[in-house]
Amino acid sequence: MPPTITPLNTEREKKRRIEDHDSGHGRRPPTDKRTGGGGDNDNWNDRPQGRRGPRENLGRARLAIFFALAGDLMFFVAIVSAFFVSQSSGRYNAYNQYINEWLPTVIPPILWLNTAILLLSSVTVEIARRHMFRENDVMDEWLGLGKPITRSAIPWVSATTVLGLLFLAGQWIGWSQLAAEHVFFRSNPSSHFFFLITYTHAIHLFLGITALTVTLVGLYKSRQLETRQILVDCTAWYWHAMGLFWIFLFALLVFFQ
Amino acid sequence: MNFRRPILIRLILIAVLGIASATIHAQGCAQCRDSASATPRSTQRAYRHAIVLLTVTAGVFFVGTLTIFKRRR
Amino acid sequence: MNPHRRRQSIFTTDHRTIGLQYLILALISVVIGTLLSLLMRIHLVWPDWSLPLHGPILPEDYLALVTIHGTIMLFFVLTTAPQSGFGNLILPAQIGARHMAFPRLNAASFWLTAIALLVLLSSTFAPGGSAISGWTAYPPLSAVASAGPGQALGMDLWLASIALFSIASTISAINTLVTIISLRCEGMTWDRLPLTVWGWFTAALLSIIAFSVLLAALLLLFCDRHVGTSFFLPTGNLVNGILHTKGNGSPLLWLHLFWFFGHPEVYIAILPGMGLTSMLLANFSHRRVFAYRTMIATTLLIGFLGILLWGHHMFVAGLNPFASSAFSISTMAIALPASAKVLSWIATTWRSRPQYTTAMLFSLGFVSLFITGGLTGPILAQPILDEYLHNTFFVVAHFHLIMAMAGVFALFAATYYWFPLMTAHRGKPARLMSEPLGRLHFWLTLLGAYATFLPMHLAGLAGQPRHYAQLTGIPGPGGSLSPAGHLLATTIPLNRLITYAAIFLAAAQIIFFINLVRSLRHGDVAPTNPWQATTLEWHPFLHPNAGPQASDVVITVHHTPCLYICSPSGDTFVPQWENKITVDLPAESKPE
Repeated sequence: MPPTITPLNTEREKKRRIEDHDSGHGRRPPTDKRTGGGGDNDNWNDRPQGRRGPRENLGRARLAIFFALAGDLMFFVAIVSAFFVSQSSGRYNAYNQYINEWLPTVIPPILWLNTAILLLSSVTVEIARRHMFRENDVMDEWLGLGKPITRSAIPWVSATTVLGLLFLAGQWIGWSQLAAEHVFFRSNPSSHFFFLITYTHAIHLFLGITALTVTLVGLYKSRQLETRQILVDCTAWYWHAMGLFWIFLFALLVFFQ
Repeated sequence: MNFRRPILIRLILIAVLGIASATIHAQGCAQCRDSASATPRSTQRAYRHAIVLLTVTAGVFFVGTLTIFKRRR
Repeated sequence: MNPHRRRQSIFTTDHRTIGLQYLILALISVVIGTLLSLLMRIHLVWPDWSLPLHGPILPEDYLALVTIHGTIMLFFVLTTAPQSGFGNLILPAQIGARHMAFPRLNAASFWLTAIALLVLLSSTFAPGGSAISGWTAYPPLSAVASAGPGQALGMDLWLASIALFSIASTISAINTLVTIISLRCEGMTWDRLPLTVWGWFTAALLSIIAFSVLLAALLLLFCDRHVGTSFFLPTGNLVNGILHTKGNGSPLLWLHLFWFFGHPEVYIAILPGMGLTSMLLANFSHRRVFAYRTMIATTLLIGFLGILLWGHHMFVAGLNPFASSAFSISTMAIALPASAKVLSWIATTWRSRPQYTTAMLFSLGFVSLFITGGLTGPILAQPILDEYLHNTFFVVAHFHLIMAMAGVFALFAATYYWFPLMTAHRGKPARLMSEPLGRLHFWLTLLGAYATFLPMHLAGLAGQPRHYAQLTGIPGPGGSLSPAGHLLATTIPLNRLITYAAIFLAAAQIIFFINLVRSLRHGDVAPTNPWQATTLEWHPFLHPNAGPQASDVVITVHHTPCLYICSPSGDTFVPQWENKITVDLPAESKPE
């Protein structure tokens, strides 16, 4: 039994006439009330490719970054899993005593500064990203009336690059400080993970800085507005993800060793 | 959401069965029992955490991707 | 994007060419892998046989054969050909797109894969030879360079090769996913996607999850080998006379990380084939796929469950019994969607009068081999049975029947089915492979497959272990034959049978090559839609030889695929891109 019962043919005489365009209730002004977007039978996704709106390629690039970051997340989660297992693993020494050699590696204080710098760089890159989508300025730039959004994004992207480089420099200093204390990669199981985690994160961040550099070059050289938007946007999301990963990894190193 | 309810109920039932199942002492033989019990409890606990972490992350990503992209069109 | 005008360089970004490049790479790999397996089989039965230019096969040579055979077949054949090879070739067309989402990334991932293969093959020439730790690379053998011949440079080259492959696979998977999500044509909703595309989609999702974890595991192994860590090395390993006293790791960690990748990997290998089988069975039976939406759900469920059951490779590794229970339950659970798929395949063809083309025959062969191989799955899923059967030839029979045979049958079916689309190129006509030769190839291969792998079950049950290079004359105390030697000696007749069958099976593939080469130039010219298919890759305007103006035509999809209608006026079919249904359909079979 359906939840509602619709009686058929209750009206013998149909008051609606198609050509009236008014459903039998009187005329309305002939405005197009479709607002676009997902409903209204005007879903841009149903249009052929190339005609799906100004953010078609941007959506694809964001999807690609999303999946790449998901893979990256699995990579770091695997390393974190190994961290937990290694932390609780010991061995039997020559006297049949069970010993766990895990000695937490001290976090060089500069890493706190580095974290702050990384968070700040996330803020700057987000400002740059939002500049790229300010609607009035996008229209101006798209029409060729100057390059307001590019011009306003460039300093923020440059700032992010500088902060990123500062972060890497700070990490380097941290590693040197540990080396001065004779704590190296192979010193202790905890230092294996400290260096593994900070090295792999630094490599990822270096890739991010490369992306930022490419973005800067692209902002100057690229001739399509959409490409410039995609460059800044995708780099920004990648950068945020690296910042987010760092927060979790840093918390792991600080609180869970 | 009406048609989703029976699916949800079935999923919950399966999950309950999976979690609340009795431990199968499948090994029966001494070999695995010995090597399993030779792993110290802290390591066993760590492995359990690690297994759950990996599985849950992967599962959430898989199901989340399906959910998000099913809704998109 | 006019393929007729542009000269294509070898670094082309055209998805069809890249797909063909992947397929050629897979073809080369499968030839090498098969030759290696034949060497293994011959050595088992005739151990004194001397390989020309090499000499007798030593135990470490045998293990190197095992390693490279497994690595090549699993990675460079079964992961590349169905997913990247046929995926690149056919996926855009099946969803109504003209190109993949990121063509340059596509080309990059192919060349990374090619470099990975070269690096792997070059390990043969490294001092010490190739790695001997198997495709599973268990430590401590894989972690200590002095642990065996080939474990120094050979193992490093293996690591480098697989690391490159992982990155290439991840990139390719990202490309596939974005293409399927974003580049579907008008009207191609999720429910109307062909099941092959669902297979590619799920396999790509699994790839992203699995290969990243493999990369992490490889990185940790690299650190163990070269940086002095001990993630996987316990204390007290006596390796080649040297006692390693440092170390608090465990090989169990590697097992967990590797098999977290390893199990989804085999589903990546088989899922596209399963989707293709559904579509081909429907196509040639002129039937709708039985329970289409359920098939989509089972594909996704197999993918999801595939992440949860890696522990069944570790039942004898000393897992916590509770963990074994959990993994055993999830392994048995995955038999449910797999069985649902089998029932759907059978129901799709039940009481139809199919057209027994070669592609159809190979699809039916896929079903047969999938059932045979799959039935031993639940057996191995019982920890107590796996106690005995682990690392015996029973396991070898199980995964070879499913992957090597069923998976490869799907590749054969795909080749015979899509050959017109592979050969149509820049004005050259689309060709069909020879049906008589194809039928001969099918029957000989099916016979050879069963003859080779069914007796392996018996050998495994009799107790024959894997990876043993020597079955005869294992010495025991006092110069007599050891108990192991006695046991293995009883399996020699069976092994001889298997080796003969394997040689027969390999020889039967020559027919395939002859057919392939001959049909490239002299095959029958194919019409636009030779199989009366309903999926979009056969659309005249998506055909490789469609003219330049075809790329501007808007493709629209109106209903699910496989709309084969049996009506009083005769059998007919409505391809996905056509809207004209001129027959009276009963209400419940109205397409969505």
